[in-house]
Amino acid sequence: MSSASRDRILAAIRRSQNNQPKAEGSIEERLKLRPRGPLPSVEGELETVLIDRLLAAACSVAHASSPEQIGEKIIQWLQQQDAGLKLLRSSSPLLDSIDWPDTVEVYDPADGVDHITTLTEAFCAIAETGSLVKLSSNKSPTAMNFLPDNFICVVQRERIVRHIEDAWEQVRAETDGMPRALNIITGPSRTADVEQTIQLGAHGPRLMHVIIYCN
Amino acid sequence: MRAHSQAFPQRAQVALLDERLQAALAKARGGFVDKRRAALDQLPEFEQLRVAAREIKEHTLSHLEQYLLQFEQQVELSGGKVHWAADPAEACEIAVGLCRDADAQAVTKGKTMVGEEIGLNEALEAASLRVIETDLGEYIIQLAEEPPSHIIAPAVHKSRGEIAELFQAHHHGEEFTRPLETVPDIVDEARKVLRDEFLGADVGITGANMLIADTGSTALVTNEGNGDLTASLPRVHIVIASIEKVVPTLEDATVLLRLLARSATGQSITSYTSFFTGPKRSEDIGGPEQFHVVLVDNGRSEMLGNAFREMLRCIRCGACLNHCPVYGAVGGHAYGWVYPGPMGSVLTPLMIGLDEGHVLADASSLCGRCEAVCPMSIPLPSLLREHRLQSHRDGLMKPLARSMLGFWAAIARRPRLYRWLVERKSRLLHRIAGKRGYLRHVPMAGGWTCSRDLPAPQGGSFVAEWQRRQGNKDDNA
Repeated sequence: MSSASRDRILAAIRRSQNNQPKAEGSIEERLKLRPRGPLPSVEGELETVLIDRLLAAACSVAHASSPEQIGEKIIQWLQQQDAGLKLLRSSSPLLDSIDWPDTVEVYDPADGVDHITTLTEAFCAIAETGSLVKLSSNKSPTAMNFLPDNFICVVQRERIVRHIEDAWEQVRAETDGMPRALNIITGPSRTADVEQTIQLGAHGPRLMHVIIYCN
Repeated sequence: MRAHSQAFPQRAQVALLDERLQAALAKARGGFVDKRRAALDQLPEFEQLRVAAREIKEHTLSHLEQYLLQFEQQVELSGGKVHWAADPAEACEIAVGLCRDADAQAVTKGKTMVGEEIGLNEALEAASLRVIETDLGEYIIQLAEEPPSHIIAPAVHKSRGEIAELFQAHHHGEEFTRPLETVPDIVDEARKVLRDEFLGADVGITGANMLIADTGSTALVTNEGNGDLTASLPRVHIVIASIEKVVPTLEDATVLLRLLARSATGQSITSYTSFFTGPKRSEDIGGPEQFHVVLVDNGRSEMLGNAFREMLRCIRCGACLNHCPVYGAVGGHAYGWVYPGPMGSVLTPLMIGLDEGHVLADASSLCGRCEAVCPMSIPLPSLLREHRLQSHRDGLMKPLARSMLGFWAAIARRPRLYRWLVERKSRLLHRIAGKRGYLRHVPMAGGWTCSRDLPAPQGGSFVAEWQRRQGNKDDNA
């Protein structure tokens, strides 16, 4: 059934294409060169722009210069939120190197992903939009970005890029093709479906805390 | 969904007298327009992006077959499967079949307008599946058993009080007892109710804002994160997308993304912009085991070759609805089908048939605001005029209107007669109006004068005045 429809749809498209003026530009060239469109100007230091836009997207931001400090900043933030010292942590060389005090319960995603607080590391950050880019993997399941109330994300300062297109270049350079899920995340979950009033924490995180790491 | 577009005039009447609806529309109108304006003021490159976006879509449409094949190939390379559906019935059959094959009981859904177009919920429910909409707006109208009234904000016609009543009727009992007074109360309750649905679903169905040919990815733009939970938690992820959603590369998708959120909600980017490529990789923790993309044609391949081709550039941002004086006055339900406002008045007759939908082409003053704000530069007024032309050609116009128009055309093509008649009429109206200068009632124009007076002509005609002035100019020269 589906393959007959496939042929029928493609034939109809071909017929219509023949009715129209000759197409411009070649497909091969476009897919090879991947031309960029007009880029919005992003002026100033990338980190400053990123922080401005993260704050505008209702994130909170902290800095850390060592793995220990990441741990301390997280504990501090969780206490400010009156949240328990309990978190689900995805694995990365940086996050694995944090020594947690006994007061903090740290869980592994292999044992379930539904937690109040999650801690992950971003693939990169985009200054243009104030976003973090997350790739799904065997170490960082996508659900960790969406299920918690408190979403904590660490990004290394040298991994801040200017435009969205720079993130695509980085994905191509460093990964073996697109992952199952690539999420560009800009602030906590929100909805304006009730009387156009913006309300944070619709289905995903209510709070998003970003830690910029610079060794 | 059964179309009621023929009844637009009657439905518009009802909408205009509905106080709750009018209050909701008044609240929404300014918000959307102001937020978009503010977002554009922050982006001096908007016009350049608009030109680039149009070029991207035109290029893709002129190579649509090849880009769809490239997309299909890439989806399959990443372990997914592409299904082709010529019409709504076939699309539903494929989706129901995939759910059956997966032994599914419960299906969560992200917002998909193509899903509405093909009547997917009805088909899934008819196959005894439990279907839950997870976008808050869609969930509200699912409880209310209503179609969406806006393509971006489906429940924009509902007040907080009405939503609270719906929640009370559907959730309240043992578990939920808290009164729903504020917006946070309502959003929180929906979050709790839907959390279990997300975790318990077997299949997740989402739409796609774009399909990327280069990588075989489907792009999804949301603010709530419901689309991502729908795509990530169940065993099977089905994407429903229409064929014109394909773009060549991630770079091309990026250009459209910069226009989409700004035009829709006035955000520079939504909270979540996600790209799904294939099912979970074998070593991944979590993620769906199956990834299916159902490509829906439903008349689009034909549009590609006719006068409505430019409509295929539409990215469903809703800016034309938000800026339309007719939509703003009557809301989305008056249009009687899935797509309201100017874009809906173009699409609906193409999808449900001109004989059922032609009246929508008249639901416009052709003021041109829709075209002015469209990020994809779609000439919506011209396309509406094309529908009017075709319905006139097909004899769909009411006999009285048709003969009046024919009568007017016959006179208008005889300039001397036309001028003579106009001058007579002007003088007559001027005399009837007398010193007042306006008329309260005019025969056969009761609809016009029931809410305003007709200013009477001041005597003389434009042409006579023009000739007089030209004459003066010549004398002066």
